[in-house]
Amino acid sequence: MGAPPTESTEGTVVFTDIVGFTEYTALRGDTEAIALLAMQERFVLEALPPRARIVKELGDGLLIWFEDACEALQTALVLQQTFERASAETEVPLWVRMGIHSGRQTRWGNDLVGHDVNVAARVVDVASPGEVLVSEATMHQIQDRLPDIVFEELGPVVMKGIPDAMRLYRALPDLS
Amino acid sequence: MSRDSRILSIPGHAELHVRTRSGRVSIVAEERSDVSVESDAPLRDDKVEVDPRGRASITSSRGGSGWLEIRCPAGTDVGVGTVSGNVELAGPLGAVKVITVSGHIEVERAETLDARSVAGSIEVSSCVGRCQLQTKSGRAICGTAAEAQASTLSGMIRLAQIAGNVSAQSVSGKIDIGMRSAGDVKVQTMSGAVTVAVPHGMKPAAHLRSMTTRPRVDVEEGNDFQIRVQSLSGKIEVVPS
Repeated sequence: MGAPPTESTEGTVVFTDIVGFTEYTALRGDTEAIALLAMQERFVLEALPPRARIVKELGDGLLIWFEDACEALQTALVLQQTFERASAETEVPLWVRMGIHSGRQTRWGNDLVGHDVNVAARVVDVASPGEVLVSEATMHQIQDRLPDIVFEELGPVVMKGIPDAMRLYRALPDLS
Repeated sequence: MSRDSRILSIPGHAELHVRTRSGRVSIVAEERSDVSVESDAPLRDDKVEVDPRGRASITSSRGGSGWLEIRCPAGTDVGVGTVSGNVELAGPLGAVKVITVSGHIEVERAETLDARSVAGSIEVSSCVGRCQLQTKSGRAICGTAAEAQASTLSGMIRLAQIAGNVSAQSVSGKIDIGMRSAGDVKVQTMSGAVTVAVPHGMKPAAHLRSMTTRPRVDVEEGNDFQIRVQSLSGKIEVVPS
């Protein structure tokens, strides 16, 4: 059987991660845990713009690809509001953190691989529940196109396996 | 290994950024106008520079268990990024941001703080403004702060003397909150035990929800401030301080 075809692409990768999913499964059982995953996926599918797609499910997280960095960030912030509302209304802890990084990816069959995908995975590691963090590369793509969003720079971030230190930014809706 | 040191002149308000993979980083804020950098290894291998705005950057690519000790003016804004090095910050600092993967973080006094460690603990004595702490498995402890926000998976959270709003979230870690004055409290946990200590004479409105245990309120309720706690299975207590 031959290797899947590869193709280079540019875009923005969003990783989501449900915080405490393992503990929730232990506390509430598999059926409720699967319902939590399904809830996340349903909200994501409802919020995705036309050219974006869920590349794959990663246990309790998702790898999502967007053509446009602004669409990626706007979608992520809308989703966080949706998740928070759902958590408050249902008492189901849909505590999700998200990391966003833009760059070049390689399509490998239906999957997406490459250094910039790995970086996006590292960005989500730094995020708190309910938070959306974006990399400097994503900030460059967004420039000043999203005036309704404020960005707070975190400190210099040195990540395991990533040679250079990065700047990360917390993205928040501008409520002023 | 030979020690090395350097003095950096800083024009105006100092800002310090330190990046290193491993080894201890110690920063001491004190009455001085320059920045002194001392290391257990030659600094020629590190990138040490100051830009015209007073922003000093120290980037070290060394591994191992070395150390970097920096003395800077009181009120310096500080950013530190490490993978495995412990970070110790002493003296009165300005806005502080620290991110480490597995190192421990200790902060004596900051104007504002955002400290994140994946596997290490975070201990803060005093934060004048907003104190934000995040760890996965370590402890997150803050002595005093104007406002505090903390999250952890399995580590414990202790926010001892908070003057204003508090937000805390854990998966299984215990959460202890002590209020110094009226401020709204929001806590979410799956299985961690939650205790909120209320100052003498204050009457909070307590909205406590646990799916498996009966919350306990040992203070007179009123409307001085809100306490909202949501838990799946952890014990919830509101007690006098």
